[in-house]
Amino acid sequence: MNTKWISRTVSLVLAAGCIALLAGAPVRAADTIKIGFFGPLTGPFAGLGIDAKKGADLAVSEINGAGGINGKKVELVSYDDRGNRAEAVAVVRKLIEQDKVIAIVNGSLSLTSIAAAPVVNAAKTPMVVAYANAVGVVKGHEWVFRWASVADVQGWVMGHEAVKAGKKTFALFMQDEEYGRGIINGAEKALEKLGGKVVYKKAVAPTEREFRAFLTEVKNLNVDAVFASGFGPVLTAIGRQGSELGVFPKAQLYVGCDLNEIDWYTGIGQHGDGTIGTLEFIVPTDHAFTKAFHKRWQDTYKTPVVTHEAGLTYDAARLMFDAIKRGGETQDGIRKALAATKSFMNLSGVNVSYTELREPLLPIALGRWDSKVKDIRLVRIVDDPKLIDPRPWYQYYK
Amino acid sequence: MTTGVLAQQLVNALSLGAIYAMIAVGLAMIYGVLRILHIAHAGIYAAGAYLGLYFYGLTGNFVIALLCAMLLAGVLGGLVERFVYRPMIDKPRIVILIASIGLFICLSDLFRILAGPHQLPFNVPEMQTQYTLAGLRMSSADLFILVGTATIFVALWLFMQKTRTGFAIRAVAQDLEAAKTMGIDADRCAFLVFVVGSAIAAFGGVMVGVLYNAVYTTMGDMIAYKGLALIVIGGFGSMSGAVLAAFLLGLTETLVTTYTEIPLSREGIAMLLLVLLILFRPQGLLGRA
Repeated sequence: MNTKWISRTVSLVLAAGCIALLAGAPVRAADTIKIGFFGPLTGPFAGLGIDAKKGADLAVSEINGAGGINGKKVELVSYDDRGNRAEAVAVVRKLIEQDKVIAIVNGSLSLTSIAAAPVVNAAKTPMVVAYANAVGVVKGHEWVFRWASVADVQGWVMGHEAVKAGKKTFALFMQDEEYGRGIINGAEKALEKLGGKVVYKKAVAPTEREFRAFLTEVKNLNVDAVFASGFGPVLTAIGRQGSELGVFPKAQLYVGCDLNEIDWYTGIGQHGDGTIGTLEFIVPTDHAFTKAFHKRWQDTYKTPVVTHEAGLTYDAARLMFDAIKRGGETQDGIRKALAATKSFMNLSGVNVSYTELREPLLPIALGRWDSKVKDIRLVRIVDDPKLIDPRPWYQYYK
Repeated sequence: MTTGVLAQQLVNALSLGAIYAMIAVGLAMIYGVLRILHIAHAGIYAAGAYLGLYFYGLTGNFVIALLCAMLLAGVLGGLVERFVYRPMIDKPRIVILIASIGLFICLSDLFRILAGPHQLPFNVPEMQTQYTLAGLRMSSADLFILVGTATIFVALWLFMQKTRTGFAIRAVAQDLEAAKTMGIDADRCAFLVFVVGSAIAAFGGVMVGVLYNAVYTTMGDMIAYKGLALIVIGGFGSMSGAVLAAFLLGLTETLVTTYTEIPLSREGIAMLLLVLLILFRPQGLLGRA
């Protein structure tokens, strides 16, 4: 048999096949705008990341439904960081070096975002951080912008609110990572300034669920108020066990923005009645924009609950698209457009601008849990610049 | 700290210790018979919680849900012994340990795929009644845990001490080769130990889910570390040692995390106790030197 003939024929067939494949392959680079996304889609914090992705996905589907940006569709390239620092660094490297995204919407936690930010910054890729609140995520990284509030601002507002309500003695529960520490730092500074007395403070792991021993002590101390920082499961456990032990509602419970998490909605019931949270947005409000968004959200995801991560990531994605429209499809153009943002409407229908530190001057919505409506009711929006300015908090972090 | 507060802390520690004991006793039984560290036991515990939640949703009856969860978890445990560990029982112990860890990770991911990533509430109204006696507060869930734990331990003791099968299991735990020589079916004993141990772990998982109103994919993580610590602290293979270690750990955690400034998590405290025991009493509390 003439093997040369066979191998030539095989080579020709293979070459023809490759040409056919290449000819038929969609041309990706030119006709889509690639934006990266990462967050904890598996692991102990998967609930947060999956909600964040829902927000991003809705924003992408809306912009593409409206014709994309400058006629090009947005392509969201997503990776799972598993809530793990090393994974976060690996996935942002992949987004930048392999997928060549022009920008990143960050749907991840403070602890992973702090790890990823230097990599993103070194690669000069603009990133909008949706819900990670720790100062260290943005500080020193000129290509990283935050959409959420700085954690310390929430604690600062919480402290002012509590003292204004006549509370004098306080117990603090601090989830022991960057976000949780930030909230309690802000709260402690407020109480120091206003004469509030901290009689109990306990640091807890983000995976802690057993608080009865601590709450027994708090009950014995007869405090006026309890401040708690943590993710939804931690806050829900504190709220529920505190109520079962009789600590709440005798003492007022104040919590951070993770009041607006699915764990609270499904797990707290009447045990959480009266709990006040410091939120970065509240949905629904009477604003037409919020109402329209809420309807689209319910139609898409069949739930009225817009969690903290989902709403902030939706806004962060919208902000990114807006920056691309204003600044063009270059990384430097996007960065300049983000920095120049003077007025961008958030989900609550409030206009937000950026400070020179790439932190938003974000009004805080005080919300109170009401189990009768299974929702958080708006108490009021705090927009006093002396309370919501993120800039003074930078001095506490290297 | 007043007497009343200390008493309340002891009550808190008691129900925590009972939960740990549910996990530890199964692990100790399994180690006793097969000499393996069954890390995937934590996955069976979590599976029990999910099964309990599922059957409660289906039936609306907590006791039926609990029994169904224990039964199915027992079956799952038996299948793990038969199809995962038994084929590799002659391999080095590190191989079995790695398989167990892998199985545990797979189970956690399976829960996430089947039930979603969010924490699920396990709301059983009849378990939420609060009782106050002489200033001490306990929920009906706490009482159920304590009564259930005591009942299970009595039943287990009677089974192990008063039945032929229990005698056979003890013989295998004492000396596998001698037991085989005596005609005891060691494989059947191992299978039964896994079934019983897994059913007991499921009780723990269901009660934790109800107590904290939370069933979540990573609820076994804490148990995986602590279970290991408990069987070492108690003494490898000693069931009574494991139970004692469980209550000791519950008490230590409660008092250390509440009244000291030692910046360790509960898992950290468990591991510290483990290290101290290994240093000063390597055979554990009730293990033989």
